[in-house]
Amino acid sequence: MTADTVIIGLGNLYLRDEGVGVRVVRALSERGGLPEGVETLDLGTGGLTVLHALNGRRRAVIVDCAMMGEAPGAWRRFGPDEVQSRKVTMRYSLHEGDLMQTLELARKLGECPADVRIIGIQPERVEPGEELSPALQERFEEYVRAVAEEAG
Amino acid sequence: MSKTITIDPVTRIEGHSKITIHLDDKGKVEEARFHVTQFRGFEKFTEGRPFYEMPAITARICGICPISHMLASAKAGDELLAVRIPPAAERLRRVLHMGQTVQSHALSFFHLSSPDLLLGMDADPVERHILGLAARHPDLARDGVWLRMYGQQIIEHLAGKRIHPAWAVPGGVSRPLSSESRDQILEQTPRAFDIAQRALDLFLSVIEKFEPEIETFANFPTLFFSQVTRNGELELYDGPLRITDAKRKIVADHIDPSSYDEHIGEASVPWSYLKAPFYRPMGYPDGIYRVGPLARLNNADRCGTPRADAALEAFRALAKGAVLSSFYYHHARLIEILYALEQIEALLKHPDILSPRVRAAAEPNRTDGVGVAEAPRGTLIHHYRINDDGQITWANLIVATGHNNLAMNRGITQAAKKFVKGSSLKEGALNRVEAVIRCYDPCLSCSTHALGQMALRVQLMDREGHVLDEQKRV
Repeated sequence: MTADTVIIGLGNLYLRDEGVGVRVVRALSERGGLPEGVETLDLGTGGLTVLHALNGRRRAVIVDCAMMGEAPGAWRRFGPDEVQSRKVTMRYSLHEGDLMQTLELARKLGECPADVRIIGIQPERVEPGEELSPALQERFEEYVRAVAEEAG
Repeated sequence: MSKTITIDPVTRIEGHSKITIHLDDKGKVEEARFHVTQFRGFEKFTEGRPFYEMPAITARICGICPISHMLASAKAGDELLAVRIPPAAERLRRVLHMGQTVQSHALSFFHLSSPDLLLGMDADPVERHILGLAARHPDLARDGVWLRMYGQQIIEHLAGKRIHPAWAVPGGVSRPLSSESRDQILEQTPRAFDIAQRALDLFLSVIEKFEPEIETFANFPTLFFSQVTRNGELELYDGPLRITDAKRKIVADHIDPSSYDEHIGEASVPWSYLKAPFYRPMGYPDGIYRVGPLARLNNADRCGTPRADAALEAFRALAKGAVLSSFYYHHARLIEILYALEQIEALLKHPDILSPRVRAAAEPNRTDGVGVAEAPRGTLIHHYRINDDGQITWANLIVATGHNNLAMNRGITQAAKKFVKGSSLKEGALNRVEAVIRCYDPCLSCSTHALGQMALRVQLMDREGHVLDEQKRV
């Protein structure tokens, strides 16, 4: 049975801050305690796999690193429509740019959850490596709480 | 005064790179170059890692074909252990690989190529993408999404739900297949066949509109490079390497994949971090070759499965020797989807497929290991050296987009000469140059080993480096 709510973490674990979305979702999944009917998915740089993960859900929370012109470590919560209207576009990599397109495709195919929320986290360093930069490490618990609240 | 043209993001392919189109003194296209501007940092990054972690790490290089990296890496690991993996493990790896092939080829055809094919090369770029296709041909878009999902579900059944599973390991696989999973996949397969056949029929019904493109989309003699089975059939997971020429004559055969570096040289070109491999006996640049679906079908004597072989007849009829136009990569990809589906069905019906014996345990017994598989885009080579503690001391990855580098450069030059006129970039011409690149379905993130996914840029400039035209598409 497909869970009502899905939390999707996106990013590349080996590109430092780029992998923050995956780390948040892993932390949520390892700690447990999410309400029933909430599923967590590490979709890495899976791009279109997001489309399959959305189908049949009522609510989706997507967490990803995003170039938003904010201070490193800052995070914002927005819906797919706000990204267009406020031009918070994420162009650094395809899986980000593609995310908005994937959501639109899901809508066109009638497979998009009514409620989609994106948590974007401004990176400091996107380069080969596995450690989050200090600006993100310091606020990591904040991200985990924010995502859990969206799904609660 | 001579001039060069630059165009901005090539839509719909991953990677951050650039095409420049160079004009001569008379304003005619002289050459086009495909630049990739990222460092190859990945091999360095892996040094010091335990080799058995490599399948999971390399699977995260790229979101498009993680499974191919995982399998090539696990195969290099098998070599380091010096074991032959259990037969059921090999069958399961093959099923996984075929699932990957279906999902990747479906993505390439439905999402990247069919907008050009169905909406037209000159269609408004605002419409000419998967969303436009979904609006105009919703059933086709749905077919594409479903077929991609079918391949993706095979991966999930075997390797778990996460996108980058660590399921294939040196020595075999970490978990056998359940009978429920087998039955569910088999139940879905007839629909997958229907969609694949419809896509092939659709392709064949529209190609006559694309004569100028077929004529000039990287349509020239080269060598072709791929694995084949021991008896010369199409092979995507494991087998000796074969090289044929433009007449489909075998140039070299039964090459042990681990001796790849005796046959392939890697030239550096000043404008790109992407190296330019060539066939050593013919030297650089005459040793230009192509890999991927087109090369595989040119190389194989036959597919070895009935539906794919039936479809292969029309492909063979396209040319007396090898099929040379890269436009037919699309055609070859669709035939390979049929082949992959037939393989999935046959492998899953094998009586041994549910066997719990799927992993050989051993310590490292060699310090040098090469793993080779046919990724959706072409031959993928992982080569590792380890120390006595099993840590990587050196790694070399050669990926499909690298192999095809020379052919892509020559291909965009050919298309630019035909379609780019004057000192500005017209939309239709621009798209055709980009579409040559899309034929190869390159994956720039893994070809540069940059561990990320990037966007491609294209430019038109004069010989002094003045930008004559630039078009941005976001």
